[in-house]
Amino acid sequence: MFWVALSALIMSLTGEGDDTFVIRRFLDRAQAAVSEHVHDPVRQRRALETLERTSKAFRRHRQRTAKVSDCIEQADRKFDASAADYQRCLVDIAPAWDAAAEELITLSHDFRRELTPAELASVRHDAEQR
Amino acid sequence: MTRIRSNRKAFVASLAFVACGLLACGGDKPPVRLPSTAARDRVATRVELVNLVISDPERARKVRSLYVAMDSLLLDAKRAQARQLSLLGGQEPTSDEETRRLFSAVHQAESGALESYSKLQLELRHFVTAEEFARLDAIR
Repeated sequence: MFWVALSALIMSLTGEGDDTFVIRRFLDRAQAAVSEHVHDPVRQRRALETLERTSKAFRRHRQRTAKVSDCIEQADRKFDASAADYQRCLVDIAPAWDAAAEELITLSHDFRRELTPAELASVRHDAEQR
Repeated sequence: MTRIRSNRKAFVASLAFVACGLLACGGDKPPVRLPSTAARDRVATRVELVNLVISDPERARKVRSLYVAMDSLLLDAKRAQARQLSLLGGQEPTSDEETRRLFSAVHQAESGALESYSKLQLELRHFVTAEEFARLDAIR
């Protein structure tokens, strides 16, 4: 099963699967698989760098959405909170996700450029199956 | 034709790997949860304890129903996001525009749910005293 479909299924079943450890380990397995299947040292290094950039991009995205979370929690805890308090929290949701989409597109193109289709298939297989 | 098909598969695979990092995979520490997930956790811990905090059964029922409504709409948002992620990770490749559209749908589900959630949170304050509110807030 494709990893996103798996994560989506987990989210769907539990309602809170966006940070499941099952999915978290995927990136580590992908890095190991790149090391094993991509023998050209230059392309291997670039692919690993792309995965590292991906990991950093994810952390940045979550740090940004964490600010939204914290803001909402503060409003939740205030008895005299107003609609404006909540509205202030929500303004960065769309920009945060739009930025993540652009990073995803760029990193996807970079990753595709660095691996041959056969290598990509092997890496994907290992990362999903182990 | 074979080459085109191969390239399309490669693109899907590359998108999936990177999407994993952006959406779900963390580093050494557990990743921060999405706002809708964190909010749902807070609500879920309170639903069953409302009766212990609010002695008036009528108000307790109302407050409980508001928490249930919050939980329900946040869960619906999770399901909507899951559907979009499934499309992003499907076997068919997504264009850049399609990727943007799917991400947009994910954040719209998040924003829409949190918007409704905030209205319910504000409504809740009409049915609790400041003291009851503080006691509910203390539940973790």
